[in-house]
Amino acid sequence: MHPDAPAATLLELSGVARHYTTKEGFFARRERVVRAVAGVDLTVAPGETLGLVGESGCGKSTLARMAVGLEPPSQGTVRLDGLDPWAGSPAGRRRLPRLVQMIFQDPYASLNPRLPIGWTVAEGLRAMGEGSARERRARVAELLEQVGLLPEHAKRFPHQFSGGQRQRVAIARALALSPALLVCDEPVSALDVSVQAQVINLLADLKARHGLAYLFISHDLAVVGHLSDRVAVMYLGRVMELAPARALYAGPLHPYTRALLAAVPGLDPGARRRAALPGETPDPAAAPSGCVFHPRCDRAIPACAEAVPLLAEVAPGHFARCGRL
Amino acid sequence: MGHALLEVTGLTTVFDGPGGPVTAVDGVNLSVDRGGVLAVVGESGCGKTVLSLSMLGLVAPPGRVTAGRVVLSGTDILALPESGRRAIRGRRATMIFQEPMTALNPVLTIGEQVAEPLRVHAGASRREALDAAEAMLARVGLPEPRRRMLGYPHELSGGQRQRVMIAMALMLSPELLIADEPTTALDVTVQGQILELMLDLAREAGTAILLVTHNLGVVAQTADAVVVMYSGRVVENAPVAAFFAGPAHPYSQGLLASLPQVGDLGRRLTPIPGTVPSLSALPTGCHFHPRCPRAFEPCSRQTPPLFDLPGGRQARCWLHAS
Repeated sequence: MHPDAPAATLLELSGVARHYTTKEGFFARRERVVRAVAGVDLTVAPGETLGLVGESGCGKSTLARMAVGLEPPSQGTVRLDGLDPWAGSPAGRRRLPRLVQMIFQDPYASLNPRLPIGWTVAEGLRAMGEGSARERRARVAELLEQVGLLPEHAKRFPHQFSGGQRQRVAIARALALSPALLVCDEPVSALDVSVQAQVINLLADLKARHGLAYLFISHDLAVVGHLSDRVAVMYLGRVMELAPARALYAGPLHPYTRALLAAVPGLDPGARRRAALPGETPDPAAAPSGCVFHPRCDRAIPACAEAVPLLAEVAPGHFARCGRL
Repeated sequence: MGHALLEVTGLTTVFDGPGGPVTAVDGVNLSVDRGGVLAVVGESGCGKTVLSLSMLGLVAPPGRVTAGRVVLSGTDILALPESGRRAIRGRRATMIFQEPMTALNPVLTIGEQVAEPLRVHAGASRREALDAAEAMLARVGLPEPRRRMLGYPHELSGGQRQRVMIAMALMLSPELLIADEPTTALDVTVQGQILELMLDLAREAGTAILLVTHNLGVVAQTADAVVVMYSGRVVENAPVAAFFAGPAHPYSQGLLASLPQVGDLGRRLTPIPGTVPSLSALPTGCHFHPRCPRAFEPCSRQTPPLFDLPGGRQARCWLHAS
């Protein structure tokens, strides 16, 4: 798609879309096509953190699954360090685990409850045939220490850990093969505030120490702002705005981004705000015409229902998909 | 507290488990002013949900309320027989929950459910109740209320279901609405709409709100006063402006410091070390002392009382003794 893309790109999503067909109605005779992701171009450079924010149904988790090669795109291509997980040889696909790993919202669901966590952390190493059993044990001990646990924790089971500790175990497992990119899908959303901050700091430390890149997905704008170099805002399967974090938070351009930021309840009881945005996100199977945000937009004009806006560079490195800019 | 609508004193709820009884709510005192909004805030396991269920006599075995009084404008709710409590819950003190789908009946139409309180507790006829339900659904902003009334809960979005819950809960203008994490399952743009709706309608009806939440931003945007809970106990009680200007308890201070805020990008967060203790293995003395950066000699030995501070504040911390 982009033959001359700079070599410095670790993850490249080009025109990526993902459609699901659902059947409904009497005897499931009616088919509906849900465009969960409707044409996304994004890149992540080595060592960079790209934040991805959006509300439920915006397609951010589907995008994450495509970015790690868990799900094929319906259109477009995904490249990880130049490798297309869905084209080429199975041998090429075996490079994937060393390129990208993923952590999820609920570490309890992603850890095997019957296995000691040391075994789970070493899973990737075993699968890739790395080291002797003794070397793997040493590596597990080192990984557990890196995430703030103790080597002797390797013998314990997931239920013996708190939620925050389980997320540390999941991070240790993800780091075992030293991937260049970690895709984090709502990694701190299930954690209590006091523990959430511990995991956010850990992710920041790991990035500084290993030069890791993150695709960091969350509905929480404050958390995303904290960790990200650049931030993409998604709505109904599309990127509505993409900018360096500082520019996005200091000067959001898209009306949806502005509304999202205004909706975050602030900590000053002296500055109470009224609800910023009417209505709810439409069903992705019946996305509005033109700009998909126009029915909820306070700046919409009749033309917004007709013309599909492009993601245009409004300022250097700052992109927005709005016909009124 | 002469004009308090709700006075909770010494409320204690224990759960009988295989390892013996566990105290989930430990001698909680709080009061809600008539027409006011009190937020009860805390992390998971602090007892805030058990507290709200205990107040209306809704704790099911193995949980039981072992002590305390819950007085709603002169009526001690927990001293009433179940029939009396049910009457209170239908009419004078109603409740909404985080996940409205579990609180709505999936096989009854929305109209029937919203009309039910009027028929059961106010003796309205079916026709009157349905008309009032339609008007209320229009008031809570449900699109096409007449058509929606004939539909079922699964046909609605999460935000619309919470609108229906608010309609049901405020239908009879109760004195108190207990809202337990009412917007936690909702998107942030819908959260603002739902909070605003709940506050506006409660204000119109003269209903006071006890809002249970883990979200300090929601507290700042809605409440008059805040109660902070930790491991079953109230650790701080303060008017909301004073609380956010400078919380008095080290746990409250830790909560605010660990919260990432929109705008201060990249600032290193200051987490509270450790994790919330299990209720079956609570630390001695102040439950927070093993995680507290300011713990000193008495903290591990003796449980601090709630010290009265200037400005109508209270904090359960030995730093405030003297």
